[in-house]
Amino acid sequence: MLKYKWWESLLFLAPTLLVILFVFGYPLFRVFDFSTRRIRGASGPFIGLDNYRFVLRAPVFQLAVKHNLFLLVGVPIMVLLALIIAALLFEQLRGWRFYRFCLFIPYIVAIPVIGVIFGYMLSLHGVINELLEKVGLGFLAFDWLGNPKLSLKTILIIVVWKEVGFGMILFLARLMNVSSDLYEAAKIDGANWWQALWYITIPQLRLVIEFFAVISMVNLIAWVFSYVYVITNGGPANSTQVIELWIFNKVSRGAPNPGMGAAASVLLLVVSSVFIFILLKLRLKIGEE
Amino acid sequence: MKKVIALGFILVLCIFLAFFVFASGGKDDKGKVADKGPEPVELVVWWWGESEAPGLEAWMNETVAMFEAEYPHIDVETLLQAVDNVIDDFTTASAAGSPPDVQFLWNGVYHQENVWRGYLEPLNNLLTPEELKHMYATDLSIYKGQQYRIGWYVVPFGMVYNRELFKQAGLSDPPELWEWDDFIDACEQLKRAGITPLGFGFKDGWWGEWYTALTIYQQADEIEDIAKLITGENKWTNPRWHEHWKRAYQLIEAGYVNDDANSLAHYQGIELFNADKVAMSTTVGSLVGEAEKSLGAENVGLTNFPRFGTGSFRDLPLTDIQGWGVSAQSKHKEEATEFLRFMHRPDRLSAQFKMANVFPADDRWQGEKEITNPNIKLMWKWFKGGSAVYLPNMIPWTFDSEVMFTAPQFFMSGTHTPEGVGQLAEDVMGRWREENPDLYESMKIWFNL
Amino acid sequence: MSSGMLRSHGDYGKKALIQLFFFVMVIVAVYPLFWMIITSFKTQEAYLANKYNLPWPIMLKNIISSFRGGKFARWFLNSILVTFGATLVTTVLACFAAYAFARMPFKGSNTILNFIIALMVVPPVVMIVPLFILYNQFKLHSTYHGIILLYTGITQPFSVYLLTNFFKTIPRDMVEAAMIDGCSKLGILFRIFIPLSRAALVTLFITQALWIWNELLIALIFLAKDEMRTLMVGITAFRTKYMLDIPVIMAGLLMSTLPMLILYALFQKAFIKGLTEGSTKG
Repeated sequence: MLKYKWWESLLFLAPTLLVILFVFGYPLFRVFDFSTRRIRGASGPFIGLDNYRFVLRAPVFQLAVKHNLFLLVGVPIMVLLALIIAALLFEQLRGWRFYRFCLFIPYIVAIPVIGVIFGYMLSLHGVINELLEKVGLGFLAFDWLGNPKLSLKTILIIVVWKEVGFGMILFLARLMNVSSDLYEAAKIDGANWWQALWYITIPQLRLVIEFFAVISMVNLIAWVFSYVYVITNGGPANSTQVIELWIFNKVSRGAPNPGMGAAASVLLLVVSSVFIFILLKLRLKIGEE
Repeated sequence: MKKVIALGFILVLCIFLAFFVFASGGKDDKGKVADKGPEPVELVVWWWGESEAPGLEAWMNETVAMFEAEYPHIDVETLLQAVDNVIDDFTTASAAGSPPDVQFLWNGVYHQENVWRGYLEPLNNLLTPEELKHMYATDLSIYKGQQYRIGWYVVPFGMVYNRELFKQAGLSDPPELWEWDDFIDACEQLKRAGITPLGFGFKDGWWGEWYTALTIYQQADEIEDIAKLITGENKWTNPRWHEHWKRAYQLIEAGYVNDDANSLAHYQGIELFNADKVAMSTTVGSLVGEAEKSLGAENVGLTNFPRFGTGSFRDLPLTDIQGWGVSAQSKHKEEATEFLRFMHRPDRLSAQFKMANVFPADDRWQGEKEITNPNIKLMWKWFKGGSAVYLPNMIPWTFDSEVMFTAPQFFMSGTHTPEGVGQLAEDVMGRWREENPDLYESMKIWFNL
Repeated sequence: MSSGMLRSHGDYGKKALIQLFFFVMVIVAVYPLFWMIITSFKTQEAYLANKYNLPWPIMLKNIISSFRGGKFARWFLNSILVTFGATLVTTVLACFAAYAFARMPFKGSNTILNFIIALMVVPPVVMIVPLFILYNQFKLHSTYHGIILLYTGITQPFSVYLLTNFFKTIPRDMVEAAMIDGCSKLGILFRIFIPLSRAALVTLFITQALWIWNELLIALIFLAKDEMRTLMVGITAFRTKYMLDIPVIMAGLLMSTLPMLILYALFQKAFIKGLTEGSTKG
C-alpha cells in the first residue's frame, strides 16, 4: 500500500474537483435558484414556484416528455439488434470482417451530417420513396418526416441506425473471449441457434449488455437533441419535440424565458436521478440473487 | 507501411488546412496600415436577406468595399445569418455582452422585444430628424417616441401565378383584387387539369406567419383590433378572428396544396413555383425576379392574395419594411451611423434596386423612373397607394412557434380543426400574458404609439 | 472455421440466409453515405431530374462552392482544437484523480467518488442556463478555453469512473516493489500505472474525443461566433443558408466527413480495439 497523507491525496484530486465544482456544482446549485425567478438577462424577480406551474401546464412540454419516454423503447431494440448482429458476425462466415467494417460506419459519421442526409432522403418526394416506387413498393412511400404520426418513429429508426454499430462492436469483442467449448457443447446437446443465443451468449455478455444499455439510455435522453434539432426542429406540429429541445428554445430562441428553462431542467434532473436510482437498486437486487 | 501512409496523409491534410485557413483569413489583414489618422475600428454587421432578395449579398459586398475605401480606418465585418437565427443570435449575443454593432431587424415585435430588454440604441440620438423621416421604417419601429430602426428595403407581398399553366387549365388572368370564391374555382379547375394549384413549405413555419399576415388584416377595422387580441379583449375563439385559419384549412382539405408541404421549408415551397411544379405561390417583390428568370417574364403574373374578409382594410395590399438598428452596447456608434448613412446614399439606393430587385426604404428614391418590369411596377403602385400593416409584427414571438407556424402543419396532418387552433391561440395568448408580465406592460405602452 | 453455433461444413442453408441478411444490412448501413457522395457531384438540375442515379457528368464545382459558402476549414480546425484540447485535459485530470481514488483513499473519498460517478447521468442541458449567464459575466463566451473547460468538466465523471476501475486492477506487488525501490508517488503513477493502463487510456481518449467531436447543444450555445464554430454547428448553419441547393450541401457534408472516414479506414483495427478493450474489463 502506498504511504501517503490524506491531504496529498486531495492534491491529486484538486484539479478534478475544481473543474467539477465549476461545471456541475455551481450550475446545479444555481439552476434551482433560477427556476424560482423570472430571468431577464442575468437575474430577475423571485416568483416562487410559478415557473414549475408554467412548465408543467405547457402542452408542448407535456408532449416532449411523452416523446422522450417513447424513445426509450429504442434501448431494448438497439440491444437486441446489436446482439443478433454480433452473434451472426461471430459465426465468422466469409466476409465477416468486411461486414463489420461497413456496419460500424454509421457510428463514425457525425450526427448533423446524418441528420441532413436523412432529412433529404426521407422527404415525401425524396430518394427513398422514389426508389420504393420504382421497385413497386409504392404503398410504403409514406411521409416519413412530414407526417406527425410517423415522424418520431422515423427519428427513432435513424437513432437506432446510427447507434447499433457501437453495441455490435462491444458485443463482438466480448464474444471473442467466450470459450468456443460452450458452443461445441451446445451443438452436441442439439441446441438450435436461438437457444444458444438465449442461454449462452446473453448470460456471458451480461455486463457488456448492461454497459451498452445504460449508455444508450443516457444517450437517448441526452443526445436525441442533436438528431431532432437538425432533422425536424421539433416539428411537424410538435410531433418530435423533446425535453432538451424545449429547454434550449427557452434559453436561446426568440422568446427566451430562462426561468422556465431552469425549472424544466430541475424536473429533468430529478426524474433522471430517480430513474437511475431505481436501475441501480434493481442491479444490486439481481446481483444478490 | 500503413504508418507511413497515415503520416503522409496527416501531413497532406495539414498543408491542405493551412492553405484554406490562410486563404480565407487573408481579408483581415487589409487596411491595418493605420499609423496616422483615426484609430482602426472594426465594425461588425449581422444581417439577413439574401434568401428573400437574391442579389443583396453582392450589393452588401460592394457597399462594404466602397465604404472601407472611403473610411480606410474602418474594417467592416459582415455575417449573413439564416432566417431561423438572425434575430435570436442578436438577443443571445446581447445577453452575453458581445453583440454586433449594426443589426438587421425585422419589423415589429421582433426588434421591439430587444428594445424592451434595452439592447437597441434609439436612433434619435444618432441621426437627424430629417434623416429619420427619409429612412422611415413604419410606426411599429417607434417606442416611447423614439425610433429604433431605419428602413432598408420594402417587402411587397403578392401571389404569383404561372400563365402557361393557367392557360392549360383554361383559365384567364386573375384580377388584381381576387375574390375568394373565384380563387377557389380557379384552384378546382387547375386540380381537375392535373395541375397542383398551390406550392407552399410548412416545415420551418414561416409560411404560417406570412399567411396570417396576408389574411388577418382583412378582418380588422383598425390596428387596435389586433392589440385587443393580445390583451384578451378580442378573443381568438371568436369566429371572426380564426376565419383565416378556416380558409387555410379549406385549401388544404380540398387538396389544393402540394402534398409534401410538411417536408419542405418555406423557401423550398416557393421554389416549387420556380420549378414549374405548381401554378401559384405566395411571394414577395424581390423573389418575382427569380421566378421570371426560371419561367420567363411573360409567364409570370402577379396578383394579390385573394380576399374574403369583412374588415375595413380588406382591399388593401400588404407591404412590410426590413430595417437596420444599432446595438445599445456598441462601442462604435458613430461609425455604425456613418455606415447606415452610407447605405442610403443615392447611388447605393439605385444599386440596391438594380442588383436585388428591392425597393429601398427611403422616400428619396424615385421608383417611377427606375422600374421597368411590369410586375414590379404593379407592386410599386401597391406600395405607394397605401398598404396594410404586417400584423404578426404586433404579436408576441411565442405566438409564432406555438400557433402561426404550426397551424398549417396541423391542418396538413389533420390533428387540429380551425376552431381548435382558435382555442389554442387563446390559450397561448393567456399563458404569455401570465408568464411575461413585464413584456406585456411594454407591449401595452408600445401600442399607444 | 466457425466459432459459433454453425458447423464448419454444412448448414449451407443457414449460411446463405445469414449472408443475405448481411448483404441487406450493409446496404442499409452504407447507402446514405453513398447517396451523399453521388449527389454532391450532380448539378442542381441533374439532381431534381433524378435523385438516385449516378452523376454524369461529374461536377466538381459543388465542392468549390461549398468551401466558399462555409468556412469548413476554419470550423474543422476549431473542432480539432477543441476536441483535442478537451480530451487531453480531461484524460490528464482523470489520471490524477483516479490514482488518488484507487490508491490513496481517505475517509470520505469513496463518497466523493460515488458522487462524481453519479454526475454521469446528469443531462448537460440542465447546466446550460446558469452556465450561459455565468459565461456572460466572465466573458468566457466563444472562447477556446471557455469551451474546453466546459467539455472537460462534463467528461470528468465518465473518465474518472473508467480509470479508477482500471487503476484498481493494477497488481499491488508491482506497487510494493516500486515503493521499495524508493519511487515517489508521482513516479509510480507515471512509471507503472500509466504504461499498464494503455488500453483503458486509449479507450477513454477515443470515446471522449468522439463524443466531444459530435457534440452539438453546448457548442451551439457557447460558441456562437462564426469563426469559433465547431464543424457540427457550422454544418447546421450551412444547411439553413443553402437549403435550396442540395448538391452543394452534400458536397459540404462530404468534405466534413471525409477526414474521419479516411482515418477510420486506415486505423480501423486500432479504433475498434481502442473502443472495446478498455470497457470490457470490469
